[in-house]
Amino acid sequence: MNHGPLIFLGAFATVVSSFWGLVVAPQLQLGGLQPKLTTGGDAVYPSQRPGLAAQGHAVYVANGCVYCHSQQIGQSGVEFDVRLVKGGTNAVKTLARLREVLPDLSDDSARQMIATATNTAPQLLAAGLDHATADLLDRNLKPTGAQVQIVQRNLGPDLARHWGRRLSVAQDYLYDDPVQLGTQRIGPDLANYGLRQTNETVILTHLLNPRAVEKNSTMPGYSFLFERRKLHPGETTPAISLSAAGITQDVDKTTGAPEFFVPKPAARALAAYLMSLQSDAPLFEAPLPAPPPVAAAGTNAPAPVK
Amino acid sequence: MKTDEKNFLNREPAEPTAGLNSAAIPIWLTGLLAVLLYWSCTFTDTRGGRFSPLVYAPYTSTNQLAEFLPKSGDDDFLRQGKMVFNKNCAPCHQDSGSGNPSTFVPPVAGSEIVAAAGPNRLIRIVLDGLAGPIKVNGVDYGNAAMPPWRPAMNDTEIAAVLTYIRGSWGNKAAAVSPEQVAVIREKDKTHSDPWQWSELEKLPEKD
Repeated sequence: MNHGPLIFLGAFATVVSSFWGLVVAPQLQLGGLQPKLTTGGDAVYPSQRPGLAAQGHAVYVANGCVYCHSQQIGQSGVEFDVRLVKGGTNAVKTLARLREVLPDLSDDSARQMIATATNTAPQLLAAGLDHATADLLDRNLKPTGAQVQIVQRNLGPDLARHWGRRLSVAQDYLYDDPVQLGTQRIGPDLANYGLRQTNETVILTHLLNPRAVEKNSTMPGYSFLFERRKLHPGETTPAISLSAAGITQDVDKTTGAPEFFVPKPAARALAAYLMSLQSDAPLFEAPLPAPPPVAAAGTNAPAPVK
Repeated sequence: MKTDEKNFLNREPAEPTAGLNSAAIPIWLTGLLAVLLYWSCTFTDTRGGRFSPLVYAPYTSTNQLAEFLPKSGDDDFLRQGKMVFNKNCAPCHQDSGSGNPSTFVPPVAGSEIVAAAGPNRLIRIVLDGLAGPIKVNGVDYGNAAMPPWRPAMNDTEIAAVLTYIRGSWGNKAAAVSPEQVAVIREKDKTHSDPWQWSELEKLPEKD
């Protein structure tokens, strides 16, 4: 040991730097996170889960759902479509301005677009541009009286699978303790499960016997969250019939009453938690695709995309 | 014999020592490390979003994010007021400001007390609460009981939320500044019970 103090200092510096990087720095960055208004400005996000869903979180943790299901959406990029919503009065000038940014645009199709573009029937000028190019196109066309609409699209494999519309950010997990991020995706991501599936009976059936809902599911059934019995008179729990659970119907020979799978409180809490999984609020740090498609005049229905 | 022994000892190699010495680290490795360090600094600089907690990959800066967002007409103070209202007041007064007659909560939307010429009484209600009978727009709200917010909200929050309720849902009264709240907070320092409307009525609306 010729260099005891040096070795001690080296080891100490290693521990301190990892403590700084893994504990102190994240705490400084995100420790003060508070619920805040969404970018639309209408709601405080996130809100506490309602009581039953909060209990369901504990069931989710206890049954280790996190080992097969993640709760985080990744996003690899963002791109912009530019749509013409008003052709402008001077078609020749508009065409020339368009040409400066989009040299590949054919004359005929461009004229066609300028003539037919309206607010309700926007014409797609260019897809997949970066923001600078889309912005340039917008500024280029403004002086001619033409108007364009810039439509943002978030990109990434998770988004292509319709698991969400934007990336997950720290704000989404503010009230989760412990946070169930997950590292494996043996099952699908659940960050927005509550938006995809809102039917409690379907969720309960899925928990009881996954194959009854998804034919090729590899998920184990959680039948211990249910009890198999006849319904009490006047009982209103969302009970699952044996045939719905994929078992041949079995009728009691003496009374003729069918048996049901009746969810225990834990199953209903878990279902409530799964339905509360909705990380889809527009936030500053995670913009949603915007603006939404224009509604046709006099209706509330969004226009068909493209 | 003695000289042989001495030669033998002399042939023994020197005891190795630790430490930096130019022969141990080849010059190309030093160069490579320097290049890697430079590259990693540049990489972090262009993609790190300046370590802002609001910037996540694939976005690279708060400015970029701000460009992508739809522009909103609200200014920051009003937004803060709305936030405070939705979080603290809306559970009783409702998001729409309509109040709830069944639980003795008077409305703030369209209320003559909220849209008064000056905010003095309103600031006192928020600071120290309100108890007992109150009439809003001619409707009696009986046993209204509003808790005091003196310890829970600072001057800016109270000013923001009052500005919000005085300028929303068709109310068109002037904004409230944090200074106005600070003055009344100081003046009523010793006031402990919630206000009665009969007491408040005697105080001026405006300075």
